[in-house]
Amino acid sequence: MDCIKIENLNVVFGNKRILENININLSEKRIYSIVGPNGGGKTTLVKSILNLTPIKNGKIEIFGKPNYVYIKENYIGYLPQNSQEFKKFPIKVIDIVLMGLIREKKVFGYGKECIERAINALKVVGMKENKNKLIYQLSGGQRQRVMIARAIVGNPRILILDEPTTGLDTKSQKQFFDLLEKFKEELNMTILIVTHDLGFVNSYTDEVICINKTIGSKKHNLKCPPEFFSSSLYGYDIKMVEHNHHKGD
Amino acid sequence: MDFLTYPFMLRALIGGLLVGTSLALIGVVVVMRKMSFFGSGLSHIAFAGIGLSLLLGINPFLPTWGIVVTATLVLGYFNRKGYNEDMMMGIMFAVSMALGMFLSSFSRNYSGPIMDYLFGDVLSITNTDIFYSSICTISVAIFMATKKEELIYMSYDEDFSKIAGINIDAVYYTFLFLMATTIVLAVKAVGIILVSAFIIIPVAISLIFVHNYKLLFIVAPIVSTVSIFFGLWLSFVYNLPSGPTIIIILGAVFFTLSILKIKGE
Repeated sequence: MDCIKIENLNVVFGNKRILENININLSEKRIYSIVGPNGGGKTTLVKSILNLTPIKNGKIEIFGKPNYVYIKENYIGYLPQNSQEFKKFPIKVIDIVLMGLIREKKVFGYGKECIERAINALKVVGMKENKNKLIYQLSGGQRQRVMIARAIVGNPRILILDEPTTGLDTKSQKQFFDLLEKFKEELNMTILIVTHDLGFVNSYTDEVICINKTIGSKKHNLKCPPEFFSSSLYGYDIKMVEHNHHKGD
Repeated sequence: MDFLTYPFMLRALIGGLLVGTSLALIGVVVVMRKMSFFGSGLSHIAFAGIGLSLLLGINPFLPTWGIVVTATLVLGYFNRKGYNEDMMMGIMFAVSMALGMFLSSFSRNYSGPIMDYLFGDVLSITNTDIFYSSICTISVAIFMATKKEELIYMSYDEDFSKIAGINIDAVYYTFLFLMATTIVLAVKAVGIILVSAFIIIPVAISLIFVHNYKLLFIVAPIVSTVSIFFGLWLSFVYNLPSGPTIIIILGAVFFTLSILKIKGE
């Protein structure tokens, strides 16, 4: 079964067409990268899938159900763009992660099991020791890790990450990408990642979605042809070179 | 405690504590969602209901409640549809004040009652007011106790809250309904102009030394009720206007603690 199926998706803001005739099928247990220039519609595509933005027409299904029905019934892990932005908000790290378990909250708060799951998610991203700190006391990179813990705490089948490596140093980026592979392999997650990191795209992704208002590949089969990394996408030629920067040894 | 031997002072204290508690609880969400102007604007919308009541010569509670609740839900709807909340409130605020003044101008001797509603009179609280305030405060307290996480998460990150499974519209509109009702009940006691101070200042004081949203829901009502108690006592002993005395105490505490905090950093 297709994990995500999009048919004839069009998104318009005012007079501006943001997405035009998007048709894609995404399979389970794969890592997809969404690449393209700023303003090309990457975040809008993700928000359309998540039913966070109104669509003009088209159909989006997740595991055979309309996206809004699936989202109502199931948790999708989501890391929004700029989620690590500084906000002086009186909330602890553990409470941020518990946001992902709101469906399991009891009448007056969370049970012991939820708290243990939140601590576990923080452990996965190496932030367990900071669980009682206030979110604004952390660095940008640490905040980003907390947001990743929040995205995965509900054991989602789908994980959607919008520019997740912003604010992470090179070492943390590598750890993060390794973590994504682990999620895919061990937790059978389908991962969609909006990124400008073409090194990651080259080394970790199973398939690439190139987008600049519309899908880049002529056949819409998600295979991003090298020639598409050219003036039609970024406005200049980009040569993709295989390297081990992110994969490590 | 002599002042509590007078029935009108006792009613003022009970009514003030009830209204102060619910306004402070509402205030935590108002401050976290950065909608202070919205809170202030709502109390001014009450003026249209008061003007209508003066014109018709009826008890102002029901018309005022109807107008404020309707206006709140309409504003909330526009907000959810992406309209500029500040702009919409700015328009509604001015039109309501003008409408209130326009309608009340047809009533004879309107200036006295209008002054009472602009600045409030906590000493005029009746047993009926206390009854309605009790129901409202209990409703607000139960709602906050059971939905504080949802309200705070929505304030922090609404998109994620929606995906995580919070019924954003249900929580938001229930909050607005309780906020509107609390404000209408508070207008008689503290006045249109001073209501927003009871919403914001107790939370602002609490934020100086509390850094956890869960504690804010406990500390802000305590700050509010302690200030109301001392304000009423001072106003009785020195024959001062009660509402303004309480606000001046809250303001003095806020500025003193803020200055001490800045010096201590």
